[in-house]
Order: sequence, then C-alpha cells, then structure tokens
Amino acid sequence: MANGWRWFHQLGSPKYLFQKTGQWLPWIWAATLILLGVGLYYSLWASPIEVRQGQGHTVRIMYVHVPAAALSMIAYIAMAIAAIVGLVWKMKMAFAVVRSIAPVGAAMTFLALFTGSVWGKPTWGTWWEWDARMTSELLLLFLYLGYIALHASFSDRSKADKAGAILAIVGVINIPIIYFSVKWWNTLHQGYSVTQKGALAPEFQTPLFLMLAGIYLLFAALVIMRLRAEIILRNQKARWVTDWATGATSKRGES
Amino acid sequence: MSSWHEFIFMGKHGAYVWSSYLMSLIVLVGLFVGFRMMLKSLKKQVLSEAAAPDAQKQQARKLKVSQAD
Repeated sequence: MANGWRWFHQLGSPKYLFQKTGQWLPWIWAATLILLGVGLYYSLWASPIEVRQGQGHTVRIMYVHVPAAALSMIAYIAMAIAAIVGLVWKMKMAFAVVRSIAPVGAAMTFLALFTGSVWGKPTWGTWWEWDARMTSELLLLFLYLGYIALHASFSDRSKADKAGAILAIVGVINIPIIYFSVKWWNTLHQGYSVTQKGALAPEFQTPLFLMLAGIYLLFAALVIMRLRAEIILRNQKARWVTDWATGATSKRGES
Repeated sequence: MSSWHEFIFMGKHGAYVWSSYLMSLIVLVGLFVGFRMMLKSLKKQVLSEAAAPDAQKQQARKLKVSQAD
C-alpha cells in the first residue's frame, strides 16, 4: 500500500512521468503493432462472412466499429476519473492526462459514428437515424469537442483545467445513457453483442477480441504521446526540460 | 476469404468495408503524426529559448554553487 501511494505521488511529478512514459512507449507500440497486424489479418481475411442476418462482408466493419465505440465511452470515464483526481488531490499531471485523452477520445467517437453510419447504410438502409444510441453518441462527440474548446478559451491554464474538469465530470452522466440506450429505448441500433453471452458466434469473436486489444493499446499509445507533449508544454521553463531538449539528460540523470 | 477479388470487392460491399478501415487509418495516423509534430516543435522551442541567454544562465548557476561552498 505504501509503495502504491509512493508510485501515485511519483506519477504526479512531470519529470518522472515523462521519463517513465518514454520507457513504456516503445513496448506499447510493439505490442500494438503485433496485435493490430494479427487482428487485421483475421478481421479482413481469415474470418468468415455473416450469413444468418445476410450481412455478408459488412460484418467486418464491426471489428473497427465496436472497439472505437467502446473506447469512446471508456476514454470519457477515464477523463472524468483523472479530472476527479486532479480536483481532489490538486494533482496537476492529472489535468494534463484529462487534456491528453480528449482529442483521442473525440477521434474514437468520430470513428464510431462514421463506421456506424457506413455500416447502417447496407444493413438498415439509412446512413443516420435519430435513435437514442446514435443521438447520445453524437452528444458524446460534442462533449469532447466542448471540453477542448472550453479548455482553449482560458488564458490561465489552472482555470482552464478546473473548468474543463468540471465539464468532464458532469458529462459522464451521458455514458450510462449511451450504454443502456439499447435496453431502455426501442432503438434501431441492435442490443448487446459483446457483453451478452451467446450473442456473438465464436468465429467472429477471434477477430473482434484481437482488434479490441489492439485498438485499446493504440489508444493508450496515442494518449501517452499526447501526454508527453502536454508535459513539455506545461514545463517549458523547467531545467530538466532544457536538459531533455539538448540531450543532456543521460549525464545529469545519473548524478 | 477465397480470392483476392473477393478481398478487394468484399462481395458488393467493398466501398462500405474499405471506407471504414481507411477512415480509421487516416484519423489514427493523423493523430500520431500530429502529436509527434507537437512534441518536436515544442522541443525546438525549448532549444531556441535555451540557446539565447545560455552564457548568463551558466554563470548564475556557478555563482550559486560557489556561494554554497
């Protein structure tokens, strides 16, 4: 427990966080590329087409749509948790994490909407329908963009962090609405297929779970990249940043 | 998948399947490139700021150290 707390405090140090993420990043990228390579092989080539519902090859859209949609929600929850950590423990790096998740989460939300729309045309006969699932997911996109815009509208960074954190926390109410929308309302969007047993045939599970793992890792890698830029942006005057930029870190880091 | 032809056309649905994957690729590679450029330009900025008053900075530090002795 004591170790856990010390680690938590160390992560609050920009220098420590920057160094650690720099060490992790190559490994995360390696795992991401392997998983995505195998995942794409299965999702585009080695998996069967869907016959029961007559979807044919369009079932392959699922392997990017489901991970993107799942991440769009998980990313927002992670943002809200980081925002709470930032507000409660006055941890500046938590706010940097919130800011770093936002663009990647917004991209995932956009991809969920885009691939869903492209999938909807051949299966439902429409690009868009104002049903509960799609409308709440669109609202999620606006929450991400709203957070980014709100954060950018303050010249004082600590005020921007606090206002953005409050928006991130309040907006989390939308997540259960998205998740349960297919249960609460009669939506055009289908019900649960990943969390409900037996809803997804095993031959579609292999590519889906590989792509889920690969895209989760890709998400983590992108957030970490954005976070490292955010750390430098916020600590430009620090000596360790100058050392890092001039390439002197290795010498001073040991002393 | 039985042939390259089927792989490319995805049985009439090639445009739908491939546009989904292509858009995902574009957006994610776009983020990757954007974040990389952001860190690089920040590094450049830090370097140019550090380069200008470097001589004075070094002296100030040395002075502090010698006082401590």
